[in-house]
Amino acid sequence: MSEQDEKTERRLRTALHAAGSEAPAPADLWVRIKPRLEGSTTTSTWWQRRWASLAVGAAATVVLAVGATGIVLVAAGLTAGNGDGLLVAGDENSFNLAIRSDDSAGLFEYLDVDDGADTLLSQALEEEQSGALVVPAPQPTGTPAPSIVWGPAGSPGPVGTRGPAPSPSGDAQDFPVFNSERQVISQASLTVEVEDVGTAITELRAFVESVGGFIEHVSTTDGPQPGRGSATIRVPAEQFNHTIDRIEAFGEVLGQSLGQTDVTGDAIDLAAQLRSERSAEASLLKLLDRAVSVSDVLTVERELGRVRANVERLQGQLDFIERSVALATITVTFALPPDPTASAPSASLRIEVRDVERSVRRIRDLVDQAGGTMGQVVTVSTQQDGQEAFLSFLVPASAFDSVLTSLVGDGVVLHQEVRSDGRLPKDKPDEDAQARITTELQSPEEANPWRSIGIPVGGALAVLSLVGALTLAFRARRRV
Amino acid sequence: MINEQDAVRRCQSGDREAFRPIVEYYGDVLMGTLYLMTHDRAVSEELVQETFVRAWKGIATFRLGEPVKPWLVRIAVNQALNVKARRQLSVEPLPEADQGSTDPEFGYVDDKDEVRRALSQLSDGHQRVVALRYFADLSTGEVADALGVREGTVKSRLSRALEHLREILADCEDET
Repeated sequence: MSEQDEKTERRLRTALHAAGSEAPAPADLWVRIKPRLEGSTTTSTWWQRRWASLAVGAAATVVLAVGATGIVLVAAGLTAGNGDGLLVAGDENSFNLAIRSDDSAGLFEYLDVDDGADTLLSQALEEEQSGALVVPAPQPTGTPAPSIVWGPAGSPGPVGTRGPAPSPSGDAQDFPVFNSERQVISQASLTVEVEDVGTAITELRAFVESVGGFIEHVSTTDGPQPGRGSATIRVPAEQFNHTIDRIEAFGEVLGQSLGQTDVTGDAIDLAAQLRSERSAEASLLKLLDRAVSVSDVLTVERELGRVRANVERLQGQLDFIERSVALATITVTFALPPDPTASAPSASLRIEVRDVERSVRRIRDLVDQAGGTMGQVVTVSTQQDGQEAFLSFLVPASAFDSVLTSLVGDGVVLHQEVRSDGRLPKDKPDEDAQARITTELQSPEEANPWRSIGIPVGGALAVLSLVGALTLAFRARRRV
Repeated sequence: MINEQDAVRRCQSGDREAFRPIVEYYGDVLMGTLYLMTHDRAVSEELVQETFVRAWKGIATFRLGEPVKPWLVRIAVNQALNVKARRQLSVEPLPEADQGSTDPEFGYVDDKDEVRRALSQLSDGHQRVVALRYFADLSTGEVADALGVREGTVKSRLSRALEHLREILADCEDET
């Protein structure tokens, strides 16, 4: 093929691939096709088999006839072509041409020729005479020389080989390999209640390593007895379910989510793009070999750099998908069982009441009625003749809100702090959960009337006494 | 991972799922080939589905050891020719590509449109041969098989198509 033809072919391929790629197969092609395959039979019927047998028989007859003709022609060629080293054989449509090498007796070079046999034959003769035709190296001693193998004409292949089953690549065994399995990324997240977080993480690590995985990240809360710990683990996809089972066996599962993402389509798209870019890279490398001017070289190299960057990017994405598919990701959170009192609601109040003692009695009644437990009660008298009381008591969590409302309604709330995360101990019924309430009662400062009257009255009396004393002293002096 | 031949073998034993990788692997090349033949995306989508359905129905008679692609392309071409005969599809010029890939300094890239315009000036038969040889990447023997003509005919058509294209492209270059 001339250089001009090669150039035209290259341009054609590029243009055709660009045009053909504008209409890719629908992404849901398989989804569309699959229902139409229902009920289709793939089993050949007796008449199909019979026709196939007949066809094979007929084909065998034709092959035998053609073969016989070929042998006759080869013999004729050997006899007639001894001088110029050419062998010609075939039928009227196509035939094979063999050129015997001068320095490797018994080795032949094969070419396919067709309607344009005259041209090709003359070209081959010219090449053979000029020594341009490459002849395979002699086989090692003892290796049988290649025999003439007849195959269907027109099968392009490496020079000197002819395969019985033609394929576009010329190698019948070079069949594509499909990735038939779905590409699925598996992920899970579990929260498990355990008695000892540190031990659970240690055991998890040992298990993960035993199935060929690894811990990607681990964290625990501070302290010698961590109350919470989490780990992100990666395990081989085939161990995913087994690993989930094992994690569930650590303790009570408080929550979990499992998910699988099918990335088969993405992987196929990326692989197709990668093939296309690699093909472009190969074409550019060929162009680079032929580039003459510096400008051409620079232009091709620039384009080559762009294509190679795409190849690396696509390869990276494919690798990432492959890794994600191969290794499932599981996030495990271990937590201690919740503390009954810590997790029940609690409150701390400071209330100003008119009568502290009366309020203390009322609170005792309230706690009794709610089924709670009265704790410490401390009552003190203040220097201002007031009273203060400190109370601590437990009430059932279910009665927490009503008790709190009653307390708040008993006076003026000076301070209130309520802690309630709404999570109650799982291993206890709600009515057994105890909510702690700490209350500080104090009488209002203006609640003591003597205090408000005494100061001005006392002051007035003192002033009057002083005035009286001064008056008496003044009068006594005048008498004197 | 599964070899093409193993997939065919499993299909022949009735495993529909084994047909899926074949559909996904060859979907684009069949679609592109049909598009180059019909120049109609919707028709090509119909035909590519029909091609695979027919291939499935006939896979029991497929001879193991043969490559699958030429066989599928042959079915696709027959579908396209049948539809063409029925509907008398007109051969429209191939739509021109986007301008994004053009590079005035880089001849082989910026002449895609030029080549496509030249292609559309070829006869129907020549376009078909060129598409199967240079897009579907079939050998001349396989192209002959797919089109039901002799290999010599394919080679001569290819030779004439290339020559014709060269002339058209040379004219274009002279004009510019």
